[in-house]
Amino acid sequence: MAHPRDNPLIVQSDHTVLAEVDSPRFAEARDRLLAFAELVKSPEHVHTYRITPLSVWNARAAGIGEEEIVGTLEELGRYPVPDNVRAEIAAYAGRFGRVRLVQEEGRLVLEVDDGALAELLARQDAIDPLLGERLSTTRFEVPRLGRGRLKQALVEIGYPAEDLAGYAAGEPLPLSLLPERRAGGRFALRDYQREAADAFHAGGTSRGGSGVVVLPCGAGKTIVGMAVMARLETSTLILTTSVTAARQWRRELLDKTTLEEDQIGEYGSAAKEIRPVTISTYQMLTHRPTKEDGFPHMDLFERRNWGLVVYDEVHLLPAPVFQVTAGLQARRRLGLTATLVREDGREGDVFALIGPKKVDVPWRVLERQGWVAEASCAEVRVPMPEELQMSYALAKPRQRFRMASENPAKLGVVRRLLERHPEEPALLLSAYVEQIRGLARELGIPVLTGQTAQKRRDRIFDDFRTGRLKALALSKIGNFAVDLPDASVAIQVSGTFGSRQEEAQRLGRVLRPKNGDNQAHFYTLVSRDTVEQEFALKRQLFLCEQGYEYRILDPEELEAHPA
Amino acid sequence: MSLARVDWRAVLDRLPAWHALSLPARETALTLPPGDPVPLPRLGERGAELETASLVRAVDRGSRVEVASPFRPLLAALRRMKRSQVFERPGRAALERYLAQQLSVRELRELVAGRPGAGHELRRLVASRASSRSWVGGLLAPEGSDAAARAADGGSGPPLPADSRVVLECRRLVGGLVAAGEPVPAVELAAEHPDRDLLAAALSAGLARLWFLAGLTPDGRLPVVGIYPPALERIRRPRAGRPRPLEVERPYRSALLLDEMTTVLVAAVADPPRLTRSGSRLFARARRELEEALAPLPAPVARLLESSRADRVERAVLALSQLGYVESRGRPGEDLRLAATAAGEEWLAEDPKTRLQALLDLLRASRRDVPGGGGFLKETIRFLPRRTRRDLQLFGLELEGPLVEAYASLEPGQFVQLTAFLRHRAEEENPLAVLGAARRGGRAARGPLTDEQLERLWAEVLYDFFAERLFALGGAAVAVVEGDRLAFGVTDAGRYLLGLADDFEWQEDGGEIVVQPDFEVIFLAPSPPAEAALGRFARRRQKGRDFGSLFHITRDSIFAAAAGGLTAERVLATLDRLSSKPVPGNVRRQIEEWFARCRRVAAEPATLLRCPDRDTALLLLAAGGGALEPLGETVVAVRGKRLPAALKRKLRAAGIFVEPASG
Repeated sequence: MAHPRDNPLIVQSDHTVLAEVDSPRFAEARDRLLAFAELVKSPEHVHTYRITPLSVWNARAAGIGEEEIVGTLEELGRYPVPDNVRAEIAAYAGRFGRVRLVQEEGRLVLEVDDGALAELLARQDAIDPLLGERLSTTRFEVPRLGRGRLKQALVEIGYPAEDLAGYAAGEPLPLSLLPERRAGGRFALRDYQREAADAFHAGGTSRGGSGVVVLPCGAGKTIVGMAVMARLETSTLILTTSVTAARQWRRELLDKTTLEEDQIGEYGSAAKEIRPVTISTYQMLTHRPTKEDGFPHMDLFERRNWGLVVYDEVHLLPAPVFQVTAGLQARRRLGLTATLVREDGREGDVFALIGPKKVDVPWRVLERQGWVAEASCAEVRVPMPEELQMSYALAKPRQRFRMASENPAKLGVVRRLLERHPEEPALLLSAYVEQIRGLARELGIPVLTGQTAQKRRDRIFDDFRTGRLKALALSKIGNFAVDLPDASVAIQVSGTFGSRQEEAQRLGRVLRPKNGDNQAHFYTLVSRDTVEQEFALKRQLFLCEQGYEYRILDPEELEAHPA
Repeated sequence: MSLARVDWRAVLDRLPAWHALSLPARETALTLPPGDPVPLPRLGERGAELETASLVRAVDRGSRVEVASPFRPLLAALRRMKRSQVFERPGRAALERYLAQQLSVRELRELVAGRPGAGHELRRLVASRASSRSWVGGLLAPEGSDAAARAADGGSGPPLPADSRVVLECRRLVGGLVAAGEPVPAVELAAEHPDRDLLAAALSAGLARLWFLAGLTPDGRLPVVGIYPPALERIRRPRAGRPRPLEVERPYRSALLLDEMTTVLVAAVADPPRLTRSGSRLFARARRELEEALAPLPAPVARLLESSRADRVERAVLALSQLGYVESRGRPGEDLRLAATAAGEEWLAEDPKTRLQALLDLLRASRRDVPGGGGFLKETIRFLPRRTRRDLQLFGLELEGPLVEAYASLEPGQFVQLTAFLRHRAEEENPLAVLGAARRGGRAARGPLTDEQLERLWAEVLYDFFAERLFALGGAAVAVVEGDRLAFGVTDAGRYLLGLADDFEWQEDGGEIVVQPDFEVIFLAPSPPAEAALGRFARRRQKGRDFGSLFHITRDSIFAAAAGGLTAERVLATLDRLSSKPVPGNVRRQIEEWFARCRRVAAEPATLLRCPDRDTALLLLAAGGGALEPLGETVVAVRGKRLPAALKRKLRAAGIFVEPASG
């Protein structure tokens, strides 16, 4: 096969695939690659994908076979596909579907393609205890409660089960999306949101009903969740990362669906309502009085006949919730996330217990369509004041990061940045409560921390949303799922070392579409020649890998560079 | 009796009768010992036919029969031929068996000019030579030709018969057999020959000298005469023509040795690799790290070079050591390391072309055939590769000139298939024969070299120079053509190395390299020269085998570059030149900042003088003068590991007594 030189892909023998953005067939290559490869990073010119067993199994679950995968790589490759990659893809793909979970006369049964494989599985220490009676050479009864754990174990040994056993219907809940928002204005699903809901639902068959939708921050994952709920019309448990995020879900449901106040319950520390739609947080579920105690709120999963469980930000799903989810395999499960990559490496558990990836829309696509804002990122390197330089040099290594993060000279730069964007809603983000309080005091803007009462928090958010407030200071609570639709400038004055996740979340605060030029600004203030600069490099790399333009500026250069 | 000693006149006379027999009768006759009677029943049904043909006669009152005396030479010859399978299954073993059956040790020794050796050694030697084209080459060569001269001079063939008529008849016979391309029935040779005695003499002489061999056809049991098939094939093979110029796509050029040396030297500057206790080898881990940092080679090139990564590291270390660019430094047995010398750092700081030119100049200067060249340089960096010098040292020949001539025969920019080039030069333009290498080599080895050996030797010389000099130093570009064949052309740098040009162009190929904002450098197509340039300030991250190889610019790699004398301006200039897209602003800024953070600090030994109080320190400084340097209120330093005796005396004179520090 000829391999034209302007083809976009280079398949490497370590299973990575490089995709050249400037190639005329890049967009096609990107869309086809996403079906069977994980996007590792997408800097400006060349994107990197990786083909893994999970990515191939995700593709197989979506009905894409080995021939199509290799065919795509061959067709769009600049060079021949390395033999080892071809062989591995065949091996990965060949394993999917050889083991199936099905319903048979009211029993849950594991079907295996052939006797030899059945024997191999039965002799695995991790599998054997999870199997019940052997019904024939290739069929085993599976205890209902072991469905999830068996799927986990099968993924671990490289034979993922295709779960065709179906789902419990759940308690019916009439529900639909409104064409007009209650707060005013038209509402309709965007195409990619509708496609995501359709891919998950799969026409109501057993091939759908569980899986993960990957959408960039600001793309409306909540809307996709609501669209799925409207298709299933069943009682739903929604799990989020924070109370604020839970409130946002509630607000969205009331604004855009036919659900009424009394149909939505919040299960949290303040109130423990269990209603047809119940929203809770991972923290609530995993709360326990002492380390020795069990998780008293975990029975929430069983306290109603849920037809759907929604896992918001599924990449943050805590381990104990995985354990419980393993026992919930008869219920439909929807995972929502901006990334499948977990910092704890438990992507396999997401695949086994929540389900395969159903949709993955690159943010660049949404940016071009205007569904997310264009973000420009800049790092401003702020010198340490001379009087602090010696104390910094003599400080213990552990103290240096904090000293650099709390560099008082950052205040002046924040002022200049706010003056640079006088009419744009701005967020000031810090990892340290004392620092953010001090800055807020100096700047005369309100501050929100974890200790701020919910009422005050809601009021400030409301003022910010309506434009009465132009700037708002946030402690770490700003990292997760705060709905601030009008924020278009974020200034992070300090961060949690080099956390990429925090960077993504903070950036997400300004990615929602903007009126006008749809431009967002993301500033990071870093103390020059300090350990903070080293950690900032990790954040810089992360943003560059995501494809954002990243500039490094001195404070004096702020005037010279247009905002 | 050997075939050569058979009465071939008698054999030729009786051949028509043999041909007239039925196959079963021939089979039966071949079982009869020519001189011994056998019981009549042994002839079975074929007795009557053999008797009618007068091949046997009855003895002992008809109870037994024996081979009639006129047929005895024929039967003796046929029975010997029957044992020979040299035409049916030609090969070295069959030929050696033939020799064992047909020639005595004395006869074998005569064939190789009386060389000593046991029977099996002589058989091996003779078999080797008789398989060669040159074994009959001298016989067939036209009068006055090089080959004829070599034959007359005791070249690689057997001695000629004394009788010139027999020589001419042998030549006619061999010529006919070569033209026939396969063994010819002996009866045909005799059919129309006007002088059977001369033919018989020629057959004896030719069989004795192995110019041709004799055997029986397996299906008819008829005697045939032919040239040993492998030798015949070599004789009949068309001579290699001049390789035709080829159009190639995407030629691959690399100064591999330069890249390898750069990789090792960068490590030697930044983080000197550890050496074993003896200092002669790298520690396994250090070697592995260097191996991983080497540029990956495209598969065809890797196959061509057949050298492992370990070999490549070793080659680079050796070259650097011999050039004085690295040395072992530290305490043997404790922390011995391979560190860069000042000369090494200086070389490393040069741009790639200057570095390459330095190497090429050394090689050019080492040529023995160039006035003022040669001599003082050691193994690795001589014009001719080590194996060439080792293999050809016995010959004492000047090979540089012919070697340059061979590669100079290619026009600039012309690509030809490598194997076709080597074969053509070895077969048609081989200087070894002309230079008398066959005989010179022969004196030291086991007799004169055959044509094939000379060809192989010259092809190896050319190939080694190609792989270890031209290609390794960017002097040749290669490309895959016609499936998996390798073509090559001599580059500007190659012509410079060969002394055919006074300067050369050397540019890193840009255009398909991308510097990404996350500090990665991606090669969308292989470009070894660019990899060599990047290797000085970016860390290679091994990816894939052929394409997409990737570098990462890190703080450590920039610090290492700064330690090696590079500047931010030069690094950025290199990136600007190589990258097909603008270098991202954050990368540019960060590289500048990393360079700006580098400082050089001089380390020197000093002796500290600790004073009990400030006054004493002041007294000390006043007494010591300029030799002393205050380090604080009560600490004073003096350069050197020891306090100079004169200074000690001076202080004593001032009433200051220096005592060793306690503890």
